[in-house]
Amino acid sequence: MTREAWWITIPKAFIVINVVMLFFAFTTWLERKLLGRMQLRFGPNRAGPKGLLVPIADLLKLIRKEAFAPMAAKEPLYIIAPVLSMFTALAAFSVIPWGNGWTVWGHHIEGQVVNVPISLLLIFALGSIGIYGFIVGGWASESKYSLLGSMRTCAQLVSYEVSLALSVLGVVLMAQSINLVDVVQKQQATLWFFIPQFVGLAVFMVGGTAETSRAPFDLPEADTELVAGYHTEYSGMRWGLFQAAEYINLLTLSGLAVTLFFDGYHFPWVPWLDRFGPIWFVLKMFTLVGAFIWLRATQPRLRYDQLMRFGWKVLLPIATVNALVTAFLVVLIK
Amino acid sequence: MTATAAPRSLTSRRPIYEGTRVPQPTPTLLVTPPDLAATGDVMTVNFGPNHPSTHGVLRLVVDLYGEDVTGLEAVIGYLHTGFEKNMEQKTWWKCITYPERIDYVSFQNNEYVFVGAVEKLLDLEIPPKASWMRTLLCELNRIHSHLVWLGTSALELGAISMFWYAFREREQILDLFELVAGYRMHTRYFQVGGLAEDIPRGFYPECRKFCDWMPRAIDDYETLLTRNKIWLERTEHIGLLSAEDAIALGQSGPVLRASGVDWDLRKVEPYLSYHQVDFRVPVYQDGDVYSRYRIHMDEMRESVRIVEQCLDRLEHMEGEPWIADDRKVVLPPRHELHTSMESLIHHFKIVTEGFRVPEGEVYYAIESPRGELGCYICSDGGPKPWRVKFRAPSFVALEATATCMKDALIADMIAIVGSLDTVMGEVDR
Amino acid sequence: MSEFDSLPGYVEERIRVAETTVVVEPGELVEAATVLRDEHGFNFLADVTAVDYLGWGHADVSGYIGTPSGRDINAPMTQGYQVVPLAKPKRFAMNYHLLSISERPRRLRLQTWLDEGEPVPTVIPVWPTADWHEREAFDLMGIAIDGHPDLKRILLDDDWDGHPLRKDYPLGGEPVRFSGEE
Repeated sequence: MTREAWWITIPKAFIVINVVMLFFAFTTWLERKLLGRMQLRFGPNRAGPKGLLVPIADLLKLIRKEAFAPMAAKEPLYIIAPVLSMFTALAAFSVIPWGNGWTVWGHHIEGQVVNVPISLLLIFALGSIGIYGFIVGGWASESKYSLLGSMRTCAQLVSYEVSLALSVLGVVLMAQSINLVDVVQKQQATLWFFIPQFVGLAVFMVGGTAETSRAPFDLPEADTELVAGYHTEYSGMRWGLFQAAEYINLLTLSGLAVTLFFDGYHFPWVPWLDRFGPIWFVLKMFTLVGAFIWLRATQPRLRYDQLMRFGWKVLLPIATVNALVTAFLVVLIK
Repeated sequence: MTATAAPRSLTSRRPIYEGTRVPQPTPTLLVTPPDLAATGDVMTVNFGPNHPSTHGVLRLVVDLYGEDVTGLEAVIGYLHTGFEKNMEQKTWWKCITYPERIDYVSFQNNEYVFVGAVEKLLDLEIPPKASWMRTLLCELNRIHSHLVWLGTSALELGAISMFWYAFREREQILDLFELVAGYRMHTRYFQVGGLAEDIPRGFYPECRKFCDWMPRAIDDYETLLTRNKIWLERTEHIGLLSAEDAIALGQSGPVLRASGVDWDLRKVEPYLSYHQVDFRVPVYQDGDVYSRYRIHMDEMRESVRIVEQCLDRLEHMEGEPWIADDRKVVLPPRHELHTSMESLIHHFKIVTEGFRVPEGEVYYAIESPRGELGCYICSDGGPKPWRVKFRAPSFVALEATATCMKDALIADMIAIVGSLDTVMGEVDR
Repeated sequence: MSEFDSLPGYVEERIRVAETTVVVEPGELVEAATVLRDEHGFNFLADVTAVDYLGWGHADVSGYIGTPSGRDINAPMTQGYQVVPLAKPKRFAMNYHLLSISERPRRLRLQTWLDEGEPVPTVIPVWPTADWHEREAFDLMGIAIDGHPDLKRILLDDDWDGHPLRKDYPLGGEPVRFSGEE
């Protein structure tokens, strides 16, 4: 396989960032619409057909709002925090493969922005850095609610990251690679990893829900307890950036789950359809996003100590055992 | 409490906890232990009066040690509107609109307690049709109030969808109220002596439809919550209140029954037509948030049964009077005003001066959705109350927050305050 | 002989509108309350109500329309009484509405009479629920509660002037207050 020319990567990155932003916008629309239908409401239906322009209206509103900061806020950190979160969220998406690669006019185009050999590690590393945005943002706001929210974020995200990383270990062992492209191709050659790795998938989904702080693990911003958690004191587009980072993290996580467990961009059984890889990828990704939204509509919120107990005493042992069993079986079959 | 006054259900049952947990010396104040406060690790956070889950404008000054609640003071009064003072300036029949607005969620019950107190002081007998209709509306209102409680409390625990499901049925009840009285809330349908108007045609079939639907809707709610693992984790063994402490703190209604005391004024001191209907009083023994939730669910089912029995009776009362025939208190029928001088004079006197209530004082208590709702009225024999005082169950329920908050976390605090089912309008009056 | 005449500080007992009222001396209220709780089974304090009887029975009081300057005899709707009510012993009445949560449920009104400024002992040691009820009586009616551990205003602002449920509290013309200016 030929390498892609360097100048193709730049416009591709530009396009992918904008597409991801667009997806983020319409994830908010999808969430409201789905929640609305599940809750006997219509959801947004005024701006544009079926309310499709609501994200745009939101954007305009957020941009025009005054982004005021509390007097006591630690100024540079307060402003950097949402930017940091947004940056890492967008950057993480760059290594997720969404297509098989195409050759156009003799130029090879790869199906992801960059293909790094340690892409899985990179995603986790960027995710960990992104957490700093939430923690620092809550701390720098100098508000008690924000502080409580950022403490919860800190504890929750750090502990669930362990389970999340361990849950994909099985996949890594089976694929013999931490490159996401390799993982997808291995699944294409053998079978979708959610079948042998169903335990891993379950842990990944639960851990991922916690990692993206979505209901029932939305403690960092539990609105009925902490008003809005770490972003209580944010307004305007700074708040919008936090929100965007959260939704993009959700998209990245769903994309990662698709890549690791559901054969990425491949269409099953019909190889020639693989050239439309991005379509299948997006469909699979939004199916998972829909599952997350469904979960939010159904479940109450956990309590803080129950969350920690569940993370360390249930999820982590399961993930560890799953990784060990997988390793054993992989060695045995070889 | 002493052995001579042992409530009947307290006799054979394991205690929820040993001894009493009511703080000393102030029963409503949870104070952070001084040695803990001295460490400097305790953060005082002000929850409310503007906070998403304070049921209005409750303010909780909370001492937090990490996520643990170590100290708590409930501050109220942000919704104080001086209803009781206002009522002293209004004639008796104009006062009826006030109690409804005190507890804006269970307005029919509040309306009834005042009207009932005045009738008790007047020694006025109301016709059976009015009694049955009042029973029916009070029970519909109980369902309404419990639905609002369920929706908001579940929302506070993160089960956001429950809010809309509960409000779907609430909407049907409000439609029924609108059909009867012309208003959705604050109906002012009860008049001293009976009902303000005859029951409109078409109400019975609509109400029947609702009674057929409601049990299925309750099944729906219970499917979502009753056995939900997270819901159980969040509500079981949270906010414990023993029967002894509940009585000492004056708790009533669902909170008292969730602590294992079989006490319901509808059974103990039957008013209206409750002695003629068949219903069960749900009692749970655990004294926690989950028990209070179960009580509310069971009570809704029982209320539907009561409504059905009222309908059975009312459907055979077509053409019967709906208001007592006492010309000194009750407005004369409209058509008589054109033909009878006496009626015109009575109408004029009652509307301008108001009717007079004999001198005396009376305390009248009913079982509102929140517990014992009492109305103390004192009359000097004039057309206006000398003093009106409401015994608001929410006001008393908030006194139990400090006791329930033992070993609670922030999230539990929200659940506990929610489970006490307070309406701030009633707390502050 | 009635059931209650052996209560400490017993003054009188009357039954009207099917309700029993027992009047006791304010000085021995706690003792009477303890006996009622322990020996008569009134384990539940439903309510505490303070009533101001200032001007009780004066023809110009019933149904007066208040003005900032006080009462107005010539205002409309001051027709006075058909029957002049009996005079009250003192200005304030404290009513404790008791209930027995037991196999023999019954109610009782425990009443005590107070002059202006005369303290009444707290009944928190007998019924803890009295805490907020007594604070409310202090806040709105200005009853001095003796021995209350946390006696402060409950429904009104801490810096409120006067006690609004008193009959001599001016109606109307309430000055609008802006905090920060004063």
